[in-house]
Amino acid sequence: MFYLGYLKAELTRRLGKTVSISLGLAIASLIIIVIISVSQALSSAQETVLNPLKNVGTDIMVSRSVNAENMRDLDEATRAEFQSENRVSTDLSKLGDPGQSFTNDIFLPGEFLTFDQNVTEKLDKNLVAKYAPALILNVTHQEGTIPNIVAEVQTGGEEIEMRREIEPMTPEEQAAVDAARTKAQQELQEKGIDPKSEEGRNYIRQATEAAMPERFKNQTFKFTNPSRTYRQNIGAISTDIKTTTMTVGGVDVGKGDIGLILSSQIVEGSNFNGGDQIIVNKSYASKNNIKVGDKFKLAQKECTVVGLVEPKLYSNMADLYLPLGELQKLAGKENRINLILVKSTEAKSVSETSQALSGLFAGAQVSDAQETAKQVSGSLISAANLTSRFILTASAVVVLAAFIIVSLLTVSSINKRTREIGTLKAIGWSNLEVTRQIALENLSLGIIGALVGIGLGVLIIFLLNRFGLSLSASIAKSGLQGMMGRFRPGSEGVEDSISALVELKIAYNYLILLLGAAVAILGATVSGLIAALKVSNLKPQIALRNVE
Amino acid sequence: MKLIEFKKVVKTFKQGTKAINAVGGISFTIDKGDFVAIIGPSGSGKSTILQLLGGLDRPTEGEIEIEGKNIAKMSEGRLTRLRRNSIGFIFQNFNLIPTLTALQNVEAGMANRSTVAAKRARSLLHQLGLGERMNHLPSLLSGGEQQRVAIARSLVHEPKILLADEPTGNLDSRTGQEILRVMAHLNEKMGQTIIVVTHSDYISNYATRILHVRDGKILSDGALKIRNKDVLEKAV
Repeated sequence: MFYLGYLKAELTRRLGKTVSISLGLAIASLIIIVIISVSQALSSAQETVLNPLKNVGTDIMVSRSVNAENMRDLDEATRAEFQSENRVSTDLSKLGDPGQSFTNDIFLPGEFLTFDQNVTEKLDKNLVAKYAPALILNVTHQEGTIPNIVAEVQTGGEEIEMRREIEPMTPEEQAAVDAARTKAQQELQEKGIDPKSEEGRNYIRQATEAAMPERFKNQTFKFTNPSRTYRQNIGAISTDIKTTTMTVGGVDVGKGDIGLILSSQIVEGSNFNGGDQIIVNKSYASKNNIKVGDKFKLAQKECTVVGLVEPKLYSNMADLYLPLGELQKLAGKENRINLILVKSTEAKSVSETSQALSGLFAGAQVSDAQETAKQVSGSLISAANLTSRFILTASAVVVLAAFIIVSLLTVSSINKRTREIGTLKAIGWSNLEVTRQIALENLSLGIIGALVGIGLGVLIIFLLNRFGLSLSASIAKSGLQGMMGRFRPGSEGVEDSISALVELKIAYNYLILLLGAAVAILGATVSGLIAALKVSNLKPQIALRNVE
Repeated sequence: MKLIEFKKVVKTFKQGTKAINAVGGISFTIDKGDFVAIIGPSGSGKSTILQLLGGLDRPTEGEIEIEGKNIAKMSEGRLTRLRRNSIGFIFQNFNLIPTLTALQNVEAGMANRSTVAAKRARSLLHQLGLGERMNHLPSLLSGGEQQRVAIARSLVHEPKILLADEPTGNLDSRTGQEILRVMAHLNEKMGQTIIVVTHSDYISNYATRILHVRDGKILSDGALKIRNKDVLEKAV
C-alpha cells in the first residue's frame, strides 16, 4: 500500500521530527503513569498506616485501659489495682553482693491494666470470627554493678548495770537490822556454827537483808536489750547502673493470621519455631545493633533472636516480642493479658461486635480503625496530601504543556511541508487523502510515544521501587505508649509519638498504562486535528510558487 | 479535436484596494495533441493561465471548458477528480517529496491505485533513463534527473493534458533542453497534449504552437510547423 510506504518514509526519514514529537508525547504519558501510580501507592500506604488494624487481621481491639491523668475518676478498686500493677521497688542488695554485675527487669502494664485471659472464652462466636489475646508490657531494664552502699549496724545484746539513789535508813530501821543481825549471831552460836565462816556470813546476810526496808531490796537489776540489725543507705548512691526501657509484646503464636505480629511482617529470620526465642522490632534492632542469631537476656532468661519484624499495628508496637505464655511467666503475670485483637465475622457487623465486646468485662475499652486513624501524621500524610493537591495540578499543567509543544511541533512540521502538501493536492490528492496521511503520521507518533512512555514509566516505577522510597508516619502515642514515659524511671527524652516507616510499593496496572497511552494518543490526535485543519486550508497553487 | 476552450476568461486579483487584472478576457482553444508554449515576461499572466487550466483556481469571469465541461463552476471535489484523472503537473522546483524514493514519488501521482501505479512507474522511469536510480532519494539525484522523475509522476495516471510551469527554470540550458526534448518526444510519439509556461529561448525548437502573452492578453498565437526532428530523435 502506497500510503503505508509513505508513512514509513516520513517516520524514518524525518527521524528528528519523529523523535521529538513522540518523545514529547512519551513524556506526557510517562508523567501520567508515574504520577497516578505513585499517588495510588501513597494512598495505599496511607491506608496501611491509617488502618493498622487491618494489617493484623483485626477489626477491633479490646483493652482495659484507664486514663492515669484522671485518677480521681477511677473507682477505689481500679485505682488500687492500677497502683499495685505499676509499683516499682528495687532492692539492690537482693540482687547480689557488692561489686557483682547484675541485670534486673521490671515489667509494668502502664495504663493497659491486665485482665484474666479466660474472658476470651466468653466471646460470642456469632460475632467474632477470630481473636488473639496479647500482653504488652513496659520493661525497665537495669544493668550494672551492685554498689557498696549498704551499712550493717548491729545493736543491743550487751548487759547494762544501773544503780539507784536510795534514801538512808531511819534509826528505827537501823535498830531492826541490828537486832536481826544480833539474833542471827546468837542462833549461830546455839547451833555451834562459826559466824565468820562462809555459811555463817551468808546466814547473817540473809537475815539482815530480810530485815531491811523494801526499798533496799533489789537495788541492783539487769536487762538485755534485743539484738537488731539496721541496714541503711549511706550518702548518695554512686553506681554505674544503666536503665533502659522498652516495650515487650506477648504474641499468641497459635493464631496465624491475627495477632500483634504476623509471619508476613517478619523481614529477616523467621517466626517463633521453638522455645527461648525472641523476635525484635527491626527499628529497635538497628538502633541497638541486634542481629538474627544474637542472644538476648530478658529477666535472667536467655533467648535467641530468631527474627526481625516490621510490625504493622502502629498504635500498639512493641520493641520485643515473646510468645504470650513465656512473657506471662517472665513478668509474673500468669494467665493475664491486656489486649484482645478481634476479627468480626462480617465487615458490616463491626459496630455490632464492638458493642458486644464493650460488655465483655467491667471497664472493657473497645477501639476500631477510625479511632486509630486519628492519631497519624507525618511525611506520608503530607506526601499523600501533596499528591492529591499540588502534584495532580502540576502534572495536568505539564501534560498540557506537552500537548502544546507537540501541537506546535506538528504545525511547524506541516508548515515546512506546505509545498509538499500543495503538490499532492495539485497532482490530485483529495483533502481527505492528504489529511488522512497526516493523521496517520500523528497517530503513529502517538503510538510510538505511548509505547515509549509506558516503557519509561514502567522503568521509572521499577527504579523507584528498587531504591525503596520510604515515608514516615508519626503515630500519637496511645494510652499504653504515652503512659510508658511516665513509668520509665531514668528514661530520658521520651518522645510523644512513635514513627513508622512505610515503604512505598508502587504498582501499576493495565488501566494506568492504558490511561498513559491514551494521553499520548490524545495529544497526537489533537495536534493531528490542528494539522488537518491547516492542510484543508492550504491551496494547491502553493506548489507553483517559484520560491526555493 | 478541441480539448480546451477559454471563453472570455477574466481573472482579477485584489491587491489592497485596487483590483489587478491578471488575465483580461482572453479566448483560445487548444486541440488534442498540441504542444503549446505560453511565453511572456514576468507578471504577464501566463502562470495564472496555467493555474486556471489546471483547475487550481477559478476565473473571475468567463468559461473554461475541458472536453466540453465548464470547470469554472466545478466544485472543489470535482476539480480534484479532474486533476487526478485528466491533468499532469510539472513544476519549476520539481516538487518531489524529499522522503520518498524516485519510484515512490512517481507512484504518488497515482496513489489511489497503487498496484497499477507501481508497475507503470517502473516502466516510465525506465523509459526516462532512470532505471538504475529508482530507489534513490531526490536529494541524491541531479536536477535533470529530478525533473525527469517529476515528468514520470505527471504521466503515471495517463493524463489528457500535461501542464508544465517553467520546467527548465531551475536547470542549466543543456539539461533544460534535454527536458524539453523529452516533452517533445512525448508529444510526437504518444500524442500527449502539453502546455508549457516558459522563458526558455529554445522552446521554439520543441513546441508546436506559441501563445505570446503580455499584460493578461494574448499578443500572438502562432503555430510552428517546423520542428527540429534531429534533436527529437535524441530525446530518449
